[in-house]
Amino acid sequence: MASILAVDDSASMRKMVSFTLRAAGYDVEEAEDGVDALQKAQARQFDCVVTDVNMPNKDGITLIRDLRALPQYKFVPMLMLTTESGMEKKMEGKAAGATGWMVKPFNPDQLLKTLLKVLG
Amino acid sequence: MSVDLSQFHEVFFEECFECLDLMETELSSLDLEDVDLEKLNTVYRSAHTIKGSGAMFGFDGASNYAHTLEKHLKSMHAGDVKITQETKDILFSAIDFLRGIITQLQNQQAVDQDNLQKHRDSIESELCRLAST
Repeated sequence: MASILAVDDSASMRKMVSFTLRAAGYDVEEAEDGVDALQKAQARQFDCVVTDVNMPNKDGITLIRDLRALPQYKFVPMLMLTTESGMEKKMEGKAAGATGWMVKPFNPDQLLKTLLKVLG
Repeated sequence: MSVDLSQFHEVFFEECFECLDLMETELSSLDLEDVDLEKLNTVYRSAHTIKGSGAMFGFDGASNYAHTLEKHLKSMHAGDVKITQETKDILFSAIDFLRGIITQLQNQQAVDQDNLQKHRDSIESELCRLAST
């Protein structure tokens, strides 16, 4: 089963996302912000990254941009979780290299469905 | 697959209290003559977290209330609105009020939604009034 790096500074969101993914059989590692995530992503290879946008230290969009600059993450699916339904943030995410995005609030089933889509 | 979201409620409540405490600390130490944007950003992000996570777990009243604060904090952070002592005082009272709401939710007490809405409207109009002066 695919390995996923789940990134969110909100503990409740992180727990919810990782619990849902683990329950569906994915191998999940959690990171608390972009800096933590970048470090973990370099320590081992993940098949997919699911990240929040607004975080301290390094936000989700910068994280995606930094990961895309690494050869081993050039083609890895990256899913952005955002509270903003506006086009501006989505376009910014897309330009940084996000594969897809989900607008909060969403339910666990929607997360799994979208993940299957970005995993191809 | 069905995931019981109520198992994350306690983590969410604790997270809210941490966010509210952090907002209070950062606002208290914020120098109005020389605003530290990083501090203001932390206050903004804390409101954003309560909004986002609150909506995820179905606490719409608390989420909407935090959204009102988030919106105004964003304008202050962007420099569109100057932050004054009066703004700080309103924010402190809003933080106290929201802490009370989260406590009620944690204790599984009924939240008076009309009162919540009324309070949110009054915070909103006060902050709008200050923003236009």
